[in-house]
Amino acid sequence: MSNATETKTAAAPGKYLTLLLDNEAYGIAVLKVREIIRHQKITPVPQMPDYVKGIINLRGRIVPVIDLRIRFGLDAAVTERTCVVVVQVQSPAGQPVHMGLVVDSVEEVVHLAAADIEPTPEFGTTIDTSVLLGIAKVKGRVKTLLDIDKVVTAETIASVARPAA
Amino acid sequence: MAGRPAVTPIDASRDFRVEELFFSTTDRRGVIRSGNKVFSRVSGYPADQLIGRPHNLIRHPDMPRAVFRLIWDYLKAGKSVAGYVKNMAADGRHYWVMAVISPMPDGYLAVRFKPTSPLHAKVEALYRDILQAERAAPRGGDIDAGVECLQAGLHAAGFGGYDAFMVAALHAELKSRDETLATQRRRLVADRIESVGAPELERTKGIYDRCQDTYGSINRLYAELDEYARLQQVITDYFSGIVDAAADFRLVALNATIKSAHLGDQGRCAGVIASQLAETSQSVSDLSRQLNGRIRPVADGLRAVILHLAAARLQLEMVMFLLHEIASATTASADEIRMVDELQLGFDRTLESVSVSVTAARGGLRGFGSEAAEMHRLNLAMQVTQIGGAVEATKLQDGGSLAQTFHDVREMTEASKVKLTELTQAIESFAALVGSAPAIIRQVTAAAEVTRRDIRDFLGLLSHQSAKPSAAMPEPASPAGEPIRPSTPASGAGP
Repeated sequence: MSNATETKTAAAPGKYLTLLLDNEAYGIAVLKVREIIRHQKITPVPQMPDYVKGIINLRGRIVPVIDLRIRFGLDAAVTERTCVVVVQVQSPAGQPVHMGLVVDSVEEVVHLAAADIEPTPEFGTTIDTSVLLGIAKVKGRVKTLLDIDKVVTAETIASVARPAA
Repeated sequence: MAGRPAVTPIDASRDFRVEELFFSTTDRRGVIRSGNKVFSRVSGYPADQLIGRPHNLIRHPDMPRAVFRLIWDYLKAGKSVAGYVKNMAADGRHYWVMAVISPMPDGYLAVRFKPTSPLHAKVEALYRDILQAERAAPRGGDIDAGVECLQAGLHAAGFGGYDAFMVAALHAELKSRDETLATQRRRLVADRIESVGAPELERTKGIYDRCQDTYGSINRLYAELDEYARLQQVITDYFSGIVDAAADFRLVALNATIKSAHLGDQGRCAGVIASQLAETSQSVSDLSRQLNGRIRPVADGLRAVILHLAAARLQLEMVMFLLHEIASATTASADEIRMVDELQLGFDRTLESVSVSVTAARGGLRGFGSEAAEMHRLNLAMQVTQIGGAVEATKLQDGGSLAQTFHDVREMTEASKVKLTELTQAIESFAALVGSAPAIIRQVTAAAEVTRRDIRDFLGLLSHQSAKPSAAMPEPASPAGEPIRPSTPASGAGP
């Protein structure tokens, strides 16, 4: 339990991929990111939560895709800058699983020192604080750091994902 | 005003020859003021039944209302417009035309010819869909539904909008007509007027000769239209591709950064190279967005050049066609020469539009060269960075996927280099082409001025000669006057 409280108050320093969702900047630890691909045709899968868009075929591997906009209660919107961030998360069985996240756009990879990172405030964020790792300030802009394992909930993984390896 | 006679459409067409041209002028409300004999013959109405009547007399019920709405939108904005129109003759039969309508000081001038290109059949099908959409729409929403259907149809056919479509259609139809006549060894306009029907018509010969000279110059410009269209395509394609390509560059660079990060300490050097790549790719992306915003006015300007040049050519042909029609008559009528004068005025105005649009296109092209050079520089920077990255990747134990990423960058920069060279060449030829146009346009304009004076002289002479018997006065004739000689019997059977 004490361990969980710790990760909530301080994200690990290191490299983060920053991305935009509805003009707000978020960060995902680079070590969780496999690659970024352009938005492409997603094959729908029936009987899934609305934020699960379906699956894509990434060089022969089937990757489930979720729409982060819908996951965070925003309306779906695809533009020419929309892309898919492929992340690696843990399946309930502890296996690594690849998932695609549809985001508005990706910005850059930034290095965050421990001093750049602050704990998540209990209010004032637009999304459920349980999926946040902390808040970072980069060049005067605030970026919300996402706990990607929590964004992609265990039941989602159980329902759509197959082990990555 | 007499009500519209009940004409029931019948499923048959009235024929007219490919080389036949006809026109009508209307006032601002669309009431017909004049037209030539071919118009009277094809529409099946004697002249006295056309003059003073609203143009929708010949409106066919198959014509979508959305098309007329679009045409009027252009005209009310003071712009020329081209379009396919299905008309209904007095006997209920139909005839399709490609119409070019231009605003005049106090009304509109419409010149029409027979459509022969494959595009026509597609448009016929599209009009049917639009009509259906209009009929299915709720009351009051029919035109909007039709416009929506029209736009969707044009998009599906690869046109950005009606602007792009009408220019392509007019160009295609003129080309197809020229080719049809060439294969049939027929001429659109004769070299000269060989003989006149009455001695006082002798002067038409000289006017015609001067028109023929002007026509030669216009055709020299017109011959380059294909090249204009091709270059416009190259440039537009480049810019529609560049934003995509720049986005790809960015993603590849970001992926290289991510992969380097996964390699930990040993990937540090590759990471620095990757972030440099990302920085350059960001500049490429910014520049391409900037260029993309600038290409639109250039593309629009070029489209305007094509439209006005095509319209000018057609209007001059109409002048010559009418002169021929008039010369064979047995008496000279001031009203008919006045029509020539009016057509010539329309041509002058269109020439002015050609000149304006050429100047605009030239202005838009300025600066493109330096931006293309900047793009070249950024591309080169990416290539250099890529080499460093590829070398670094080979040193890494786990650098396989990173090496692949840098290889991707190489392919992308190579492809981008080829396209950039194409673009630079296109911009150069374009600038040369547009640069040569003003001199020819000045020539044509000067010749047109002399022609206009000739016509005025002739008109003055005729009005003077026939001042007593004829009702035609140099001062504005009443709209109910008869610029069309009703002597041509409108045979219901057509030619």
